[in-house]
Amino acid sequence: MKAMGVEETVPKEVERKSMFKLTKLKEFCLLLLHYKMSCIGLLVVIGITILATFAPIIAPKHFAKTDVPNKLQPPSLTYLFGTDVLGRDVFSRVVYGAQIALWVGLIVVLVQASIGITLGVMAGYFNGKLDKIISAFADIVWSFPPVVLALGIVMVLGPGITQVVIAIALTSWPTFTRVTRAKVQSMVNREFVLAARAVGESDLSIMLRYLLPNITSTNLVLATLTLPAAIISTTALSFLGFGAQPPTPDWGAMLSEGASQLVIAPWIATFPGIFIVITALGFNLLGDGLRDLLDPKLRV
Amino acid sequence: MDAPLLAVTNLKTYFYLSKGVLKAVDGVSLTINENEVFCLVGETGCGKSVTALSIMRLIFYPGKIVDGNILYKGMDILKLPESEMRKIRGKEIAMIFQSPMKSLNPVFNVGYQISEAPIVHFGLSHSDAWKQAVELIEKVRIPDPDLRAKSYPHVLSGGMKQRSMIAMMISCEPRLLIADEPTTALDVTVQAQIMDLLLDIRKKRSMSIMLITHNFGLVAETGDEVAVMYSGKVVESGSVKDVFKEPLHPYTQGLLRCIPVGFERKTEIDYIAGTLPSAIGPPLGCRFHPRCRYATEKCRGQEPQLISLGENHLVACHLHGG
Amino acid sequence: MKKVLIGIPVVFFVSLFIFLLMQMMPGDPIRLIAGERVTPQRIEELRRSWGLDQPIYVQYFYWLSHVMVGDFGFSYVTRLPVSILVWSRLPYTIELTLTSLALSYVLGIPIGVIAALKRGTFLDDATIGLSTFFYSMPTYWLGLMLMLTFGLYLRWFPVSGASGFESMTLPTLTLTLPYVAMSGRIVRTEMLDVLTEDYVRTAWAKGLPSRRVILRHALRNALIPLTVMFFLDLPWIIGGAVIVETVFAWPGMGSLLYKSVVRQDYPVVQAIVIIIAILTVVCNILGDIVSAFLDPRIRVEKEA
Repeated sequence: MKAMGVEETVPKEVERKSMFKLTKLKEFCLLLLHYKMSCIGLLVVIGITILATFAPIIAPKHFAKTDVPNKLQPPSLTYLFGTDVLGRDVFSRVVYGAQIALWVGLIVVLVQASIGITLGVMAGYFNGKLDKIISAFADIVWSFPPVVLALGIVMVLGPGITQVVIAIALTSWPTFTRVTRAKVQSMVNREFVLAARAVGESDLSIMLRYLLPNITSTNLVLATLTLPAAIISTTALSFLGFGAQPPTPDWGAMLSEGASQLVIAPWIATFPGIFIVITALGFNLLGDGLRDLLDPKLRV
Repeated sequence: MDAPLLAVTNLKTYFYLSKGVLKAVDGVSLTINENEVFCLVGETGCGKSVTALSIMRLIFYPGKIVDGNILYKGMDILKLPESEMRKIRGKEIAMIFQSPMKSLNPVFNVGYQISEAPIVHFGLSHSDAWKQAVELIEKVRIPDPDLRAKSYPHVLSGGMKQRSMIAMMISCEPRLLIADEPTTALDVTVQAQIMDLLLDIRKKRSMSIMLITHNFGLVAETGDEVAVMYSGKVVESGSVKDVFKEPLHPYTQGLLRCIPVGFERKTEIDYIAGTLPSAIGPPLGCRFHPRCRYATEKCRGQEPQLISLGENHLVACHLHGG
Repeated sequence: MKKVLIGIPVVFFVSLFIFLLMQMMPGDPIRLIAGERVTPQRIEELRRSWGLDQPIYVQYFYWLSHVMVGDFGFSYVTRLPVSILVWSRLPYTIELTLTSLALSYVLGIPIGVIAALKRGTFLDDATIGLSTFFYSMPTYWLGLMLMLTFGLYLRWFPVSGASGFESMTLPTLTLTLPYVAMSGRIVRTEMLDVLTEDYVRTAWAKGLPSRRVILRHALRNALIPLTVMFFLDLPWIIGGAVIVETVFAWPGMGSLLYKSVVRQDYPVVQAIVIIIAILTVVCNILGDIVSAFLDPRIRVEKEA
């Protein structure tokens, strides 16, 4: 292995890091350390996923099981996070809530991505008028406060999780469009696209075969970063009463309950919220790390 | 000959990266006298620019000047506090960079950028500095100086941008102007004009120029002294005449051989095999030995020192007793 | 200019969209207004007086022409003119949002600059860490937690209503904290980018003092994208205000919107959504104008 220059004094940490003998193992460990935040994020994501998948096993009680005599109890050994107004176990509800949160988040992101990527590819590929229209439209939708639009949509369609999903998905797709468009534009003038065109390949075929694979990694990073926002938005609407209906243990709905009981039973509001933060944080950290790894120039 | 204007001794500048320590400049010594065109040549990546930046003390994280002295007019500028060094930059020693496209601030007009240095260094009033800026724009041969002073950088051509840079940097009448590949990013015709301009200015203001380039033709035409750098070290230095007439180091010989001379037809162009070694883990011994046709056992083991052969002709090679 | 041309049809489009949405509303608004025990005749009368017996496009036109002059009709629930309702609430929302935005930038910019300068140190990592942390936090939860700690346990601030300066603290804090974190992070990123630019190196090479280089040369350039962001974020903050106002019972447009949606008070909702739509478009346009003003390069592009 290459020998490093010898230095007697080891003044700063930065210098110290460079003085390491770079064996493959050390390099890997350094990489891990550098990305330690993202690894924590990954662990959190895995943890929450496990929680969600095995909810019926992990949760001591069913989320709808009431125990009215024991209502509004502070956290104890039987009820880890306390009980709510109807005597339901907050801990169990939080655990089941993970299922909802992850599912909803995933679907929202999928819908957003589908709309966003399609529009983005079209805008980037076809340029000209279509591009301008799509871009301006995306800009305006993007700056429109999602809460307001979502409220409007939910008002029409009525309350319920599906409606919430539609509402939120329709408001945040522009990020995908913007990013995809930029990527497509950078690829459109490159040789392999020009070559494909010269051979007479149809636009659709070019888009599917060449452009799509190249935008995957970037969009994957974006999806990881958009998921937490989706979860927060959907729980926000549930908080306002428009999303999940009782007794569904949606975290946002629980917070709404908790708000009304804030003085006498603060645990109802605190714990679901903590879990929202942890989940969002996990995905955000993971996403940040993925971004550094795959596409550092990405900016949300 | 009185004391040199700038004397660099054993300069070492390292960059601390996660991959390891990059020894961009690893023991460089050179001397620049007053009123002289000093050329620093070498392949891309050999450390020329870093040397220049080190002289200006413009090395930022993760780089650090680790060792050496730089005596400017007898004063070691490496030991100066930053506030003192600031007074030297732009005023005594100035530097123009390689790509003028990105080296001008896009939000300020040219006149403002040229007047900044005199305002800061000499306390000139804004109007006086502006007047001087317009004069300078004229001196660097940009037509319509009044109009141009109000222009923003992005409307200027590459050549005009570089001239503006020159105007900016000579505004305080520095004694030494470092020009880091000033013409590389420009068209060929513009290149000649810029070099012409630089030499003209030099003569008029008896300023020294440290010209960094990889173009030997330029060195032959304009240089008084030259130093050849390889992999962070100086391998040969001396007057242009001496080095060109009698290149001592195999690397210099190889470089000069690469240039086709006159109109002789060649079936192949000579080149030096191999590439520059990585600055993170340079070869032991003489750094050039993997590519040197005269390499011996000694070359593989021991690093040659820079020694003087004849007046002012230095070389670092075991062949010549280094 | 482009944006204005696209903007106007967008506003119309949105208004049409909303109007049609309202029409698709389940339930008969007349019944809502009239109440329970009412004769069919009375219902017909009401329908006529509200103009709801006309065909849809007439209704739309009728409604639009009213909206243009600021007359949003009457609230189904309170019978008050919507414009008065909204107008009375607007100042509160403006107070809240502008204060939060201003505070966020006043705090965020210095934090970002310092973090960029002290890159790699603890302060820098802390900035990134905190910003990610607050970014992962739902606003309403933050509001609730702040309410809990400062309002109820420590009793430092009131938790609802608009009874003066103190009562504004918690809501403003809720809106500001995440935004400070975000803007600080963005300032940091921009500054880091700009500080590595060649022209900053030129500025150092001229021997200019640090403050001048950092503030005048670097920050000035870094702030360009930021100022544009300011305008684009304005509507977003109003969205956040909806939630914060509801949580803290702050009498602004946001809580009005919420209440109206719950009560199915369509005219009010329509009005607020339209206002926000117009505001969004205006902000977009302003953002474009400002960016052209600040960055000479864009100016030339526009002229070309």
